[in-house]
Amino acid sequence: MAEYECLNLRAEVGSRRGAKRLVLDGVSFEVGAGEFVSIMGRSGVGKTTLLRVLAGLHEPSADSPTSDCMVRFSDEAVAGPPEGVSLVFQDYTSSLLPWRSVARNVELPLEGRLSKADRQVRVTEALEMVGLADRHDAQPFELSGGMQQRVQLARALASRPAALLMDEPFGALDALTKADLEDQLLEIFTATGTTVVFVTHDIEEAVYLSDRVLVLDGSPAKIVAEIPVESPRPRTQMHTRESPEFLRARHRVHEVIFGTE
Amino acid sequence: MLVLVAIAGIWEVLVRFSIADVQFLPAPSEIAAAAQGEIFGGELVGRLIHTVGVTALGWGIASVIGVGLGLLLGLSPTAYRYSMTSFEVTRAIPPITFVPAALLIFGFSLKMELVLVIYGGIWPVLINTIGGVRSIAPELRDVGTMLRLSTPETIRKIVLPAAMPSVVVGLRLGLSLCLVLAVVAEMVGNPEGLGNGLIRARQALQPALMFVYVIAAGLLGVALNAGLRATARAFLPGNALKDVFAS
Repeated sequence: MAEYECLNLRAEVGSRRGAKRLVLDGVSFEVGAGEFVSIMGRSGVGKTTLLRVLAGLHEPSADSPTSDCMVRFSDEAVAGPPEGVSLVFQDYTSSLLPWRSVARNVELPLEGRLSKADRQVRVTEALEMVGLADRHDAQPFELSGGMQQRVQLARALASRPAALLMDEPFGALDALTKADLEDQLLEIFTATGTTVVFVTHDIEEAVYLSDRVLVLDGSPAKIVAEIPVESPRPRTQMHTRESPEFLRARHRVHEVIFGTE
Repeated sequence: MLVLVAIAGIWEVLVRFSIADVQFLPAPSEIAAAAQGEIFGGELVGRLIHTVGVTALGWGIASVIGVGLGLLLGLSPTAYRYSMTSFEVTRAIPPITFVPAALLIFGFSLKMELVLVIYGGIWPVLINTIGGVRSIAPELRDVGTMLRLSTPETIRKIVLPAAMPSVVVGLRLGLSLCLVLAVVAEMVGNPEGLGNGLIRARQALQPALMFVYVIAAGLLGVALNAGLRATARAFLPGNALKDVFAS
């Protein structure tokens, strides 16, 4: 069953002084429920715009009434952020609320929806999933970058989303922290069965995490390749990255992006 | 503190021994004596209460208007585009220049003093609120949108707390300005409060008493600022205010 369906998507981005640039045109793909899909491409190609369209933060532009441009999540057209979708931003410093403690940040999506007691249960559960149960009362600025990004992940998980959209979430972290967080994300992915759409410009990361890698290219951009990753799960940094399936998929993605040398 | 005591000491010596022969410059001891008389038998306390009351009330009203209008202008690009030019022009006029006009319109009254205090106090709060709201990280706004928060919820949970450090700067500047305007209004218009006490003492050729009022106004300013600071600290813990009160 397809969780996300995207058909002939067009999207424009406004620049200063109102001039609009067509960034995406004719983008079509599906993401199945419980699937991990990465979207790759050079910087500025429109990966983030695509993710924002999926999140309902950016409206796709239909140039004519007859256009078949369509974005659907769980069989409903996306108009504004859909219920059951969480977004994790790249910049954790500006997306956590610095005046709230870690627990209160994670609690934010649950406010007004669950009772106080239920919220506490969910917050504890989410913080345990990201390994931050002991930093419950810390303030975000007291934590390292990796930990702050974990808090953001916990906040996204607290509402038990059907789909998790992630915009280069580990892009600003050092290599070791990044590897840790990738493994933690895979554990969470396996444990919760949530669908993940993951934007990155790191080929290794995309291949290591995903079931499929979609490559976005061109101006306006469309999906130029779709590369399945056959490596079995559970995956581990050491073994998976040495496996022939991993190397084959990485080679393929490399080829699509840089061409054959 | 020690420096202040030393200055008072030197001042005392200069005046006592007529080294500085300035007419109507009282020695600190004379000021102290006048202060004692004015506190226990005179009008200082009543005047102080009047000025504190008008400053606080005017500042309160100005802050509510300033924050409310600031939120509107900060959040709505349309409102911002249509009104910022007129605000910039109006803001450039020093509030004190409105004193004669206010005097003509409202007469020698409490109303005139209050109007002046409110008018002057709105600006710093308004400008800082707009700035605070407009500089909120776009990610933070998106967080609110993703959670499908209503506009009031977004304002309460995201916009106001995020803009708070900047709003507090505005409130603080506004408070000092309100006190200045209250005293000015009392000097030229409304015949009450510390400002009027100052003028009365001058007219009665009582320089010591005059200085009592000068010092009272100064101490009041310090006290109001300290009060605001303590309140802000109590309500906004953490690092949110470390930049605001760095001085």
